[in-house]
Amino acid sequence: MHYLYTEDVIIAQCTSGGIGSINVIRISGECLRGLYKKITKTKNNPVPNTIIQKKIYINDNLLDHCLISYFMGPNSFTGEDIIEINCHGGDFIAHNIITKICNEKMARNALPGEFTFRGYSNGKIDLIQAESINDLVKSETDVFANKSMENLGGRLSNEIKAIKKHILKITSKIEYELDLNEDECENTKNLYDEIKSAIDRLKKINSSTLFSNIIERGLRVVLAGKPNAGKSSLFNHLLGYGRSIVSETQGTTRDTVEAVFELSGYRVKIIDTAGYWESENIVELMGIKKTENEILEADIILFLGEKKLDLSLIKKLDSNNKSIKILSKSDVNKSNGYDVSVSTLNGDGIEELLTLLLTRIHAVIKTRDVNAKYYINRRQQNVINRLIDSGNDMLNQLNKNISHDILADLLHGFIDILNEIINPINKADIINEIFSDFCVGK
Amino acid sequence: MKHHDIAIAVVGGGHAGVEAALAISRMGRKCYMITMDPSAIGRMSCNPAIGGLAKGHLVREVDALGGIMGEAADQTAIQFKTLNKSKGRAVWSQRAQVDKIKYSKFIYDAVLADSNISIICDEVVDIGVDNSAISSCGLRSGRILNISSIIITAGTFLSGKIHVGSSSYLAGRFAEPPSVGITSSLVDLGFVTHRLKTGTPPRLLKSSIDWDKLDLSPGDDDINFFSIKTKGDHKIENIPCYLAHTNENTHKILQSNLSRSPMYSGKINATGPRYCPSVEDKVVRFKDRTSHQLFLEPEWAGSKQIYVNGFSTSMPEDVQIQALRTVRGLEECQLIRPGYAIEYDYFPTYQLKSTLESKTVRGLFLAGQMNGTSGYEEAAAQGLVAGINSVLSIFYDDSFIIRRDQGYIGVLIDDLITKNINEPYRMFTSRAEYRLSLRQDNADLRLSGLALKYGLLTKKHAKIYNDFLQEYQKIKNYLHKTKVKFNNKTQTLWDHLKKPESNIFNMSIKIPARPSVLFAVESETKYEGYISIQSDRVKNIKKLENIKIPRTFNFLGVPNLSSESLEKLMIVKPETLGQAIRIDGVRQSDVSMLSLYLYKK
Repeated sequence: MHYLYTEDVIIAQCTSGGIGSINVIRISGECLRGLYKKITKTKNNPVPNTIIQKKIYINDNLLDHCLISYFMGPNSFTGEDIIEINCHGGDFIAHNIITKICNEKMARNALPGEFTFRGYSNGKIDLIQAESINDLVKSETDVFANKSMENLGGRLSNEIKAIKKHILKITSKIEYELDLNEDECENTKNLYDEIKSAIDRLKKINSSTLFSNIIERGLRVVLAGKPNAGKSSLFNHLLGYGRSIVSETQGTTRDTVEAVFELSGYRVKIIDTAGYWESENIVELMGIKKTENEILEADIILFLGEKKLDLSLIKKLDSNNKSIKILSKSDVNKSNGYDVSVSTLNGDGIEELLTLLLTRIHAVIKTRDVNAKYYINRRQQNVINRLIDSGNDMLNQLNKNISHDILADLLHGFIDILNEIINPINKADIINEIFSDFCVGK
Repeated sequence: MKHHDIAIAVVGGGHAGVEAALAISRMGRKCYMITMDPSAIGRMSCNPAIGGLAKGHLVREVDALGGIMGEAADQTAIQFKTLNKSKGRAVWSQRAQVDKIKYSKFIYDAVLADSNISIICDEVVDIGVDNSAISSCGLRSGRILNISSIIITAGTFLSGKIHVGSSSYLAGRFAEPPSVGITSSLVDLGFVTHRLKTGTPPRLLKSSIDWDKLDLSPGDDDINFFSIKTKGDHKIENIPCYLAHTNENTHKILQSNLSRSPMYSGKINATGPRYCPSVEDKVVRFKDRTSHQLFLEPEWAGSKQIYVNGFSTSMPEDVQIQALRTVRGLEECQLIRPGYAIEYDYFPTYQLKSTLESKTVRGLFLAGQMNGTSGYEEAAAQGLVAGINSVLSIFYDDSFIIRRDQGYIGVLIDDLITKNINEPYRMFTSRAEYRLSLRQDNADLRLSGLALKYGLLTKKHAKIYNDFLQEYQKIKNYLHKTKVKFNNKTQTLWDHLKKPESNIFNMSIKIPARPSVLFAVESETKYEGYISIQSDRVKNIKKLENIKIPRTFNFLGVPNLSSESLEKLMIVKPETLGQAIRIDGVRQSDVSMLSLYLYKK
């Protein structure tokens, strides 16, 4: 496995390429004092945790005037010594410094995620924290960034550790009973309650699943309605209102058009569909099929109609009741039965629509209290689901008066799964996969 | 290698030494048994019981491998009891109260009658090594024995020192001298040694106890004996034991005299057993408990001497008697002999291989209490394994290793060579990750097949086992083949038996079988489902067991191991990745690095 050679000194550019005012280069290794003194041409050891202006040399060639910091292991991100060089921006300088240092065999290029892997393998962070670093970098919205930051700070890890401690306590009670108490037996009702309380805590974490998936992938909001109902106008209007994250993709009128914007910290993907009408033209039918699929996968449908009769169409399309019914062109159209009336011409009703949309988003993720939620990624969701299944199985067995030798075994199995979230043993594949998802320099 | 008529010397005639010598003999080889006092062969130096929680499992396994302990206990028992009866049969354990005198006589007779064992009354003072292999041993009398293998089972005798209050004297056991030459010979060979401590409670005069004030603790009427060789109709006396309880006054007396206990005054600085603590330890450590249970056991049938289980102590005699007399029923009690603590040399077991042979000296085996264990059963199991391996090592260049999933003996030895033993090691069921499949009821099925393969069983034993196995398989087939209708569902008897409420003894099974067979089959049905979950879980561990670490492996070459892990790995030199992960003080992340490295190789 390629992360193995951790005795090497590794180097990488942490900032992304392109023209910028500075770039940051990170170097990590067991002891970097020598390297520091060599490239800065100084005699004294570096003072940890300070930033200082230095010239960087390789073999007497001046490469750049830089700001340089030294972090001494184990009190660093990787648990090893780290040098961070703030050099001048642009593609050339940072690349030049890295290449020259590598050519001198003072370091080698780091692999994606290798700095974080070293932090993990040196016990500086657990797996959840490692994953959160990647999430933080990928996040495009406030909510996602905040939740990732919480995990980096150990919020999720601490809760999992607390649950583990609770389960260990129950297990040790039973083990004591099995090994040292020949006559007495722990009370089944108490055991049931104690195990159940751990499972309830896991269920509480698990209730953040939908929330997590949505803050990660964003919400799908689909615009639907008959041709010329005003969908594209509303689409453009909403993008003008919110902060556009991704530029809209071009398409023919029969294709869908997508754009992403942020609404109150949520990533919202808005999809403009082809108008929905009855047709026998093959090409048009394909467009209609596509619209139907979008509607099926939507978290929220924004349906635009112009008269009361149009409502029958959305009734037919939206069996799950996830639509907001919008009467468009409210400057000319009047009808009842709609949730909100909007005019893109004079902006009437737009604020009201956005408020309604946010309410609906909260309804979809089933929370108003974002603070109470965790971000749990797919891997963690999977493990937590297995834990809940195994826990429920244990409770069922307890109801059937399972003997305590078997209960203890089930508890050990449960603890093994718990360990998988934070510190999996002998799961090289999982660990590899997680870190290879990182970018270089992390 | 040159073989003499007698190539192996067993040093010591305790539970480890006896099993070692008898195993060597059953394998058709001869050995010396060197003991300072032949009349002490098979002596029970502490409590008058064999078995107990997890220890009962060990006795069953020793029996399944041909050992004598189970049979001796069955034949000399005065009471039998199944412990943990309310908690699932994987943790059911037998305990026999035995007649100590008859027990050691039974063993003594067996050893004496064995023509392959030559008893020498002497003391080993020197161990001769030639080219990293055992060549001889020198005795106190000046005699030198030319041998190829030596199994040292010195118990608590190595530089043993007894403490009672402030007085202390050199001794191997009560009224027996210590052995002093072996430790220095082993140290000369490069062995590391440390001190451990253990204790034994006082013995009381039976007639001085007011028995009417104590609670009765009777044995079972329906007895499951340890040995497959013991006939089902064997009868025992069933003499009861009695329960007494300490109280706050007892604790007060012990508390106020702590400075007179050598453990607390700093006179002993060896580590004592946490799981079998002295009564003064219990009082200090469990301050909020106002009472501790004492178990009064007769030492033999008609014994005038009563063993006070739970009152192990090294207090001065006057404090012992004063404290005991606060206990209801013991107000007038008289000591026959006081409790004492004993300090002795032990040899950290990372110096041994899984065969209990030294990693550095060929033919040198250590077994029993000097390996840091406590208990007769743990000692017997090690003696047996060492005896078998000494024969295999010298004559066949082979080895006999029981894996952790095969038996508690495997767990015991694997733990010894990987764990940092800093207090006497006692077997617990929680030490076995395969606990559900390592039951007392299937000990023969788990191990006797293996024993046959290595020629460890007598002809008689082999026949009994084969009969058992046949019956077992017949019943199993019958249950799989026979269908019954139950609540309108047709299912096999086998599946039907999985129900918690169904009982094999209530079924009309047309094939005759002894109860122990029926019980073993029933356990298998009932645990089958859970064991398959268990084996899923431990599959990972098993994978690690199969990854061998070469003996010459350079741990320094593995990048980024923490220095504490590296130190432990280099001392212990684990033979497999599975062992590496179980070494105390080795970090999980380091084992994960090691595994990545070995996988790659």
